[in-house]
Amino acid sequence: MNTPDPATLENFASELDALREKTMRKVGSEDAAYIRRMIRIQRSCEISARVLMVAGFISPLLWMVAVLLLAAAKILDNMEIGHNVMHGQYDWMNDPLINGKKFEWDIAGDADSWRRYHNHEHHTYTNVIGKDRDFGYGLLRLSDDLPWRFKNTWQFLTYMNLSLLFEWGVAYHELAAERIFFGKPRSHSNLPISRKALRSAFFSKIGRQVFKDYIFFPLICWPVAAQVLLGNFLANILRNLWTSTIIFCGHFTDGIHTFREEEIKNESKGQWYYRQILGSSNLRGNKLFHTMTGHLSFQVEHHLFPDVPAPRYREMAPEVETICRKYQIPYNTGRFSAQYFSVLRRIVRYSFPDRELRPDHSVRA
Amino acid sequence: MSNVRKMAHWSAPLSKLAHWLTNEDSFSNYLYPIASIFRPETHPDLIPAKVISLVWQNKNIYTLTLKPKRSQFRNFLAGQFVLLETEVNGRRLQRSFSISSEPAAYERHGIIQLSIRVQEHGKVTPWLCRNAVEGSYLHISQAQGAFTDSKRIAPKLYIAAGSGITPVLSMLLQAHDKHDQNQSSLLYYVRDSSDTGFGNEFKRLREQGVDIRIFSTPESGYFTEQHLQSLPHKAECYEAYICGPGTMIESCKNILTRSGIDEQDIYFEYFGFPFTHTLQETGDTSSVEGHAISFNRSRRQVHCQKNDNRTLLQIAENEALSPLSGCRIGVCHQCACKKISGRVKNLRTNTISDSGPEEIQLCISQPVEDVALEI
Repeated sequence: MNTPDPATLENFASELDALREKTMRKVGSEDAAYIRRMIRIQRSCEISARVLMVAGFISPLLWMVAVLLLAAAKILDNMEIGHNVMHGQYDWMNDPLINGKKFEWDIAGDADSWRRYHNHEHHTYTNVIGKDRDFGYGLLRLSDDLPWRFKNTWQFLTYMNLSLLFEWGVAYHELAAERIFFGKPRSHSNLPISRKALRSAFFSKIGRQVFKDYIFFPLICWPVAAQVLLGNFLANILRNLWTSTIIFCGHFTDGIHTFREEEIKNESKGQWYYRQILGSSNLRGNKLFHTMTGHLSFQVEHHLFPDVPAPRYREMAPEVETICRKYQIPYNTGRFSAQYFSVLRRIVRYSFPDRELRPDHSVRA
Repeated sequence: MSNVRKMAHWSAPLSKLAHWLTNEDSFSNYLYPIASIFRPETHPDLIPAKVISLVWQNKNIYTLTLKPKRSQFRNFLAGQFVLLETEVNGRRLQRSFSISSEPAAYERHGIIQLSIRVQEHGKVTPWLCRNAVEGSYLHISQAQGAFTDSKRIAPKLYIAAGSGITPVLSMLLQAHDKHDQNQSSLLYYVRDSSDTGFGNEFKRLREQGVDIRIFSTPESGYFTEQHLQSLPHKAECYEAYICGPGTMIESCKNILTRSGIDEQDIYFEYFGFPFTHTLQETGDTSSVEGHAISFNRSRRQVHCQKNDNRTLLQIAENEALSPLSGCRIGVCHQCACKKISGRVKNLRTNTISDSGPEEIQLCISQPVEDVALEI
């Protein structure tokens, strides 16, 4: 891969910086109104879904609508609201109810834990093998940087499980890194809280989620407890499938680049921007699609400008694409079906050892 | 919504249930976005106050008459202030303003008045006078502050400068509404004595026997020994209430104590930030070089030199405060925390922040004046 020279990268960086400043100057009451409207819609969906869920005894169709409504509410809470608010995109509003540090989301994972590993680890070390554990989640081999292991043969099944149970993966992600349950604790850890506190927060959040969806709501609808429980379970599954699919499309499509730790030493602003672009891909779609993906369909713009309010990515994307073409930097985008298909193909391809043996790689059968 | 009264025995379990079911601290916080459609003036923790009128006192000061929601706003003591919140272009900004009307007016008519001086380059005071439309709602906190009447029977001396008149006015109006027998004198220092504003209030007070003297500072300067000696009573009998800029308060205090007034009988309020008071209390009234950074939760204060280029994150770390941090380049928001007051420069965008409470990222914020942080 030929990295552009430092001078080009510097100009590239200043154009992107200028685009960011231009957009941030526009951010104001429109964006505040937008996120408030989203929260209102999400809560209305959630309340109506939970109420409607009971009406399954009138007609199963109503129950199905309730499940879809609840799934939609959970998706909005997870992506358009949760992910974006927790990135600090709306902190400028000074609204204590829409605050990046205080927001808690409706998934098994603890928001504090996610904030620690996502904002810092994933966004700083995007696609750097060995540092960005989001690249494969420690479970999947998605590039030839990792040597092939026998367990990779069935990694498509692992992927399907991860996808169905994605919220649990998100919940466990930090504990895996800190070797809380398995493995020897690392000699050096950046964890700002004690291991005990991390473990306790992990179980506490899981307990609250299980209580809410699988104990409280089913029980207060006693005669139809089973149908409410099943409905909540399905809504969670649907949310997991959707979020994992969109997230996988962000970094594992065809044409994605990975990086080694040495390559990012003393990274300049331009190099950082460059790595973010080469490590991310976009999805084309309509406004509703973008909203339901939490604007992660604009993964490139999100990685360039993580703290810009996400709906602004729509207007920034054409300009980012123009800047990339000008500097001959690849800009990865495509139809949802095509991009997702390439993700699945990647998972299958790296399930098997490389056809060509490279001198410094040993392949275990 | 602050009208949910906390009943000690069931609010805690209810709040816990709300947290378990909604991830919010209370059901009212969870429902707030929906409730605000039907009742746009509700606010999760402040009190709605309807704008009744806006009247200019002089070319710089305007008086906002507000009607706070009766069921929520508790009556206040003369001399106290409220936090006023406005939303300017999506951003919530807060400022504190002393209540310039008397508590008796709230009791009788349900109104309070805030007399506000327009800050030329301000974000709130200029916006407010253009947008505080009659019938619209602003939001205020409960009244707070310790600058109130001592309730002692004694001749009272009020010394005020510029917009420092506001809490003093409230105290004078209240004293004379209640037919206080204390003899009060007001010494008011302004730049232009022909355009002080508050004509009606001064007339009312003079009619009731309050001795009001207005000084034009370009001619007579600020409070001096002579001003004190010219008062009807002997200096040491007075109880003094001073409100204005820090340097004026220090010099007044010196003159008053030298003239025999006990320090305990001197009450004052700085029209500036509370903690600058700590710096100036040490007696150094000469221009203070540099800035004071207060870390409220850690109860620490750091004094930085004027040419100190450190970011707030570096300052905190040098104080062994170990704040959370991440990328240190202003992208990941790990170091985000609440700034309570003071302006900072955002090194990423090269802009100066607001002076009120807001979220900032420590790693890219450089203090440009005294700053108070929550951490």
